[in-house]
Amino acid sequence: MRGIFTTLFLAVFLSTVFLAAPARAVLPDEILKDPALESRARDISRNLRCLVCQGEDIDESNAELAGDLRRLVRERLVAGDTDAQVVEYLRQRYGDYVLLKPPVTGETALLWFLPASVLAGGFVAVVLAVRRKRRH
Amino acid sequence: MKRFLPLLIFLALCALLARPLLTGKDPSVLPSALVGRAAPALPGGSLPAGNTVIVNFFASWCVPCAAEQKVLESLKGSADIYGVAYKDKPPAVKDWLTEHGNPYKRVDFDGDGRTAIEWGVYGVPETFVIDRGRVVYRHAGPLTAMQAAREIVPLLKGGAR
Repeated sequence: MRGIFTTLFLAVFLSTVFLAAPARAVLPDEILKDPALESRARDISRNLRCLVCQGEDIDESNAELAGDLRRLVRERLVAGDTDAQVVEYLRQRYGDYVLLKPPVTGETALLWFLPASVLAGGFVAVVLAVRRKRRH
Repeated sequence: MKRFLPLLIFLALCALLARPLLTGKDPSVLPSALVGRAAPALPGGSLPAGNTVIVNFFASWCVPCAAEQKVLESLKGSADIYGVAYKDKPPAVKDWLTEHGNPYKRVDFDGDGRTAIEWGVYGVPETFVIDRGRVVYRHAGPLTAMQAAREIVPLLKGGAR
């Protein structure tokens, strides 16, 4: 009997943990009537950094500026901008920092390529070490 | 030589990581995309084309802005300061300026925060120096007297005024 309860509890607990949708900050009056546009707005928002909280995207941030930016993104979409144009509009004003996925530039090259090159370097070192040991 | 290689790598990494700590750069201060570009318009009209001017975003509900007013007062003799009241209402701004001092040549109202977005502002106060229509300097957060003397005053002397 206890076993069943434990299993049941675990099932409920795990499903609340893993199936729950992440909390979003989008307010009902911000949501567009056109579901296609709204879903594009969501996708764009998820890649834009909230500049006040800096660790959150504007889709999940409750900061006032994030709300203003969400509204701006929707306005531009309604006006007929492509996704890229909307992102570029904000990048012109807030710089690359507003993008949660920074573009590859001289400044960010280290960020993008260091992990892979460290891994490759480690692999080469291991191969060399193994070879040398075999020779001895 | 080979024996010291890990040590050398470690020291190089230390140097790389120590640099931002020792130079005292605040990582939460963001670079402005606007520096070097034409200044966006203000709600109350364009800025004078010939002069070096200061644009300051503030609000009566903003606590650090009150501390900044004294610093702006000290700058208003060297350049015209254009204030932009961010998400604020005229009566509140009027009272606040009476209380904390009014260094502004003109105060514009940015009720919905749209002008601030055009300027890449992410919070008040923020201060810009505009030289002949171009943004040459941006400071986010309240200006201290030292920052004003060190960073803003030299820019004003170089201007047309």
